[in-house]
Amino acid sequence: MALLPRLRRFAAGLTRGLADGDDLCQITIERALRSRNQWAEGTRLDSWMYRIMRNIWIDEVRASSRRRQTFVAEEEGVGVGAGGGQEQRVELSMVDRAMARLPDEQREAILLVMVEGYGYAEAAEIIGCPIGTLTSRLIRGRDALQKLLEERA
Amino acid sequence: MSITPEMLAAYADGELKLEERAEVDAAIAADPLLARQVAAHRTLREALSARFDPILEMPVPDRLSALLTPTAQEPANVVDIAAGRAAKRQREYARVTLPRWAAGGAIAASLAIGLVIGGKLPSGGSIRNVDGQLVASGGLETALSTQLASAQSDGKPVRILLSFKSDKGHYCRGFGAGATLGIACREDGNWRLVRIQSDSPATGGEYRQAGSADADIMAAAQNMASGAALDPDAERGARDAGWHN
Repeated sequence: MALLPRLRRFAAGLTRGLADGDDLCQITIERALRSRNQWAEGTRLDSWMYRIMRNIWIDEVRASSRRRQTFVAEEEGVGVGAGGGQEQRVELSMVDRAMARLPDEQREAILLVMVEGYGYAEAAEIIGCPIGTLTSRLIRGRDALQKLLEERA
Repeated sequence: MSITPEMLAAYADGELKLEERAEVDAAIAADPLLARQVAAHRTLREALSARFDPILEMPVPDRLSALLTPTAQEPANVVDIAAGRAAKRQREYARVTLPRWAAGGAIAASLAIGLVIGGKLPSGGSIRNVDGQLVASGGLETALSTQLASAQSDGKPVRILLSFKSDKGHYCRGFGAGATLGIACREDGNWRLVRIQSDSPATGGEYRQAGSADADIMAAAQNMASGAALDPDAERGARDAGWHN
């Protein structure tokens, strides 16, 4: 199991696009290699990398993408041709659009738990927040997503 | 007992303890509305998987994988603090200095593993992820458990370079498989990969000196070992005892 594809998936979800996600991946790997002395061997490498990625995203990428036109990204969706029929593609872009509308902190919680499969405790540790904060973001994000997807269905 | 939204979410995410889960199970059986909410959660999870999981199957762009090839790192004579410290420790065993990229080997290896191993580990030798740890499986696991460094026969897909006991008391083995070299340590019944590196040619047509990767592994092993490498009798004994430390 390679970690790199998982990092790409998480980055694409955070930045709402595969190209931006790959940029984030690149910065993350560079920083991880630079600060590898801080990684305690025997602890989970993936959580450590996710935490680095998430912090970079908060610091840099998000700040710059806010300056850009967020609306364009929202309307276009991520637009990754994942194969499948027209119907499936429509559905995928609905997920993209709904995700793009979530506040960042809710999207991040959804991605860590529902896409990356982390437990509440691990996800909270990656974000650096109490578990209660994580679960409330998760629940709010999930409700919002379900509502958005129902509206469009 | 009423079921809170938090409990229901935790139930759907598999975060509840056994007794709480039974409680929610009972409540769902009695309340179709709760059952619908749990179903909606599953549907959402599936929609997210359908959207994001294909990224895992997509080829990784070269600019990302290139970051993880050892030759892309700084020249070998630049030594950072950690490598310096490691080198100091290691001087008790041998006068070998680790190239800087070697210190990041574990991280680069874990990330690059799909790239390095992909197609290069022959005979079904493979690597699994157990709780975030990379462990040997398939042919590699079998070779690590059965083959002896002292009784090497040609033509085996996996070569055992040496066996030693780590300073943590685990049995460890340096191995080579095709163009991949590494060190695996016996922990909790698995061969945990503590180091993996590729012996593939450097970019730009430059080839690494033959055998230099073996030397890297030997140096790393010396750095980790609590004593000398196991002699043939000790190695055989450790194998026959199932590598228990």
